[in-house]
Amino acid sequence: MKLLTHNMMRSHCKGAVNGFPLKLNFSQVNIKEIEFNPDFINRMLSRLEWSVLVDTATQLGVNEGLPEMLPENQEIDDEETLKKIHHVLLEVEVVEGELECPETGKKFPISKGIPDMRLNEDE
Amino acid sequence: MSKRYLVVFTQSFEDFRLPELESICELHQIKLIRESYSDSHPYCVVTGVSDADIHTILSRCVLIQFVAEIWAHCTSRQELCESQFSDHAPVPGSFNIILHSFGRKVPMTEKIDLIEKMEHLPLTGEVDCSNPDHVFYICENYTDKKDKGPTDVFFGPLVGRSNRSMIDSYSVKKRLYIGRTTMDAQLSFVMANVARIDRGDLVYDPFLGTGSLVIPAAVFGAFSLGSDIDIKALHGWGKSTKKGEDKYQTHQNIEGNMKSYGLSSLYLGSLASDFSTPLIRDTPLFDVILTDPPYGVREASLKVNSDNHLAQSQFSLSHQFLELLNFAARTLVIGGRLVYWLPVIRDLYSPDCLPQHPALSLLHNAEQVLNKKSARRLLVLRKTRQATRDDTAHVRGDEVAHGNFRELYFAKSS
Repeated sequence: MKLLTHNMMRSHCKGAVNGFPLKLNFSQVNIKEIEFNPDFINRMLSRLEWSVLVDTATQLGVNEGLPEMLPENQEIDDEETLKKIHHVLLEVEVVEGELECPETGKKFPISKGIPDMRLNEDE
Repeated sequence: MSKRYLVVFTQSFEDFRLPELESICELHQIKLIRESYSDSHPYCVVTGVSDADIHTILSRCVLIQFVAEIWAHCTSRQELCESQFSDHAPVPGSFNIILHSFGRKVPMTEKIDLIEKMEHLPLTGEVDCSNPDHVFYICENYTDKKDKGPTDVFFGPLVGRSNRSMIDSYSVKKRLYIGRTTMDAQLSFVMANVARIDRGDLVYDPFLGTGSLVIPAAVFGAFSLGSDIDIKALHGWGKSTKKGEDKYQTHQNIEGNMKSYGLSSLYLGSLASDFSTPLIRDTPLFDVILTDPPYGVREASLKVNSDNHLAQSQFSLSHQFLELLNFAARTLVIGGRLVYWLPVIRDLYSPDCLPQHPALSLLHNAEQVLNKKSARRLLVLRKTRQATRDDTAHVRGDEVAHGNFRELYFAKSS
């Protein structure tokens, strides 16, 4: 599970109003080299919950100088900064771990990089 | 004066040919003007474009075979033979002339005879069939009067052939990992084209299955992710559906496919999830939602029950499509497209039975006939504005044509 994906997800448990952001517990993280596409990274900036990305990256120990806040127009010209964002969004993969609904505490396992978000009928 | 070109389509998936061509023209701001088109044959005369535009079109459209510039457009072979070609400077270098016909197979002797009678061809070089400098086409349309000769005879130089060969490299037969629901490669590329997928787009497939749709998206430079209730399909667990294979091996999964095609960088991964409880934030995220939802026939609609088993769904087929439109209205960016297949019983179909949403506008509706009774329609919708709280997907008329698709599909004909 990449951090871009985590940033888009929320839980849908009964009783959860937002279900976002999902708490992340991890036991295995991989770094995978991904081709850098600056236009794509810039395009994603306005669609992300930026503070959640920064917090999650910090928690995983991969925050190497991400800006605390995005500029007003949500665009970044500096290639070095874009590469740091690219690294955190696309190159960090949680392989084993679990996600937790922030409101109900329901846990969802992540196995081989795929989160299992399925709920039972009563959930 | 603008050049005229002959676009030669494949004679298959006729309903999809113009939607594909129009979508690519729109994507690249190509102002193509169609002078003639018919579903019943492959020849389409266009103008208002340049050679460069044609090459762009050929790089994407898989339902086109080739495009030739039109130097002569005649109504008989006699007329072609008498054509002067005075507007064209002599062409040096070796050449080959290929005859393409539709509606009748033209014997080689006739072709040779015809070319010999074309006395004013401005070609000064030698014939070379194996490696010519220039390739020319004669195209003959026999659709209307097979025995009386062609209705149209075109002549001109080949501008380019399409990238149809790419379908072969991504052929399902050669793919590492497939399942029962894997989409045919050609159709998956058509879907990516009518979705107007562009480099750097973010694409989501909520019924990911074996990941057949993320492949063309990645080939066209877009990033994709998806979800599916069938966690085994996502991981590549279980028995292979390929003849002679036993269980899926470790490299046989969606990631394995992407790696084998050199497209790993563009695959963002998957999530196991029941689409009836979508787990994506309600905010514009995706440029394209590209998907082939279950029809309830081969892979019945599934849901997880409390014994952790997959059980037949309460989530009826109709509800699934309405939810898909609601989901698209919430999570597409404005201008983004939803592309999905809707199964229909042909006798019961009318445009009124299509799911609709106030924030989504229908752009294309193309039918693929499956058998005498049923078909599926590829629907392309564009998000025109943000959805308000009151906006909801609905069906104007009778949803019976797809609502109980599974029942109707298996019902004995009356």
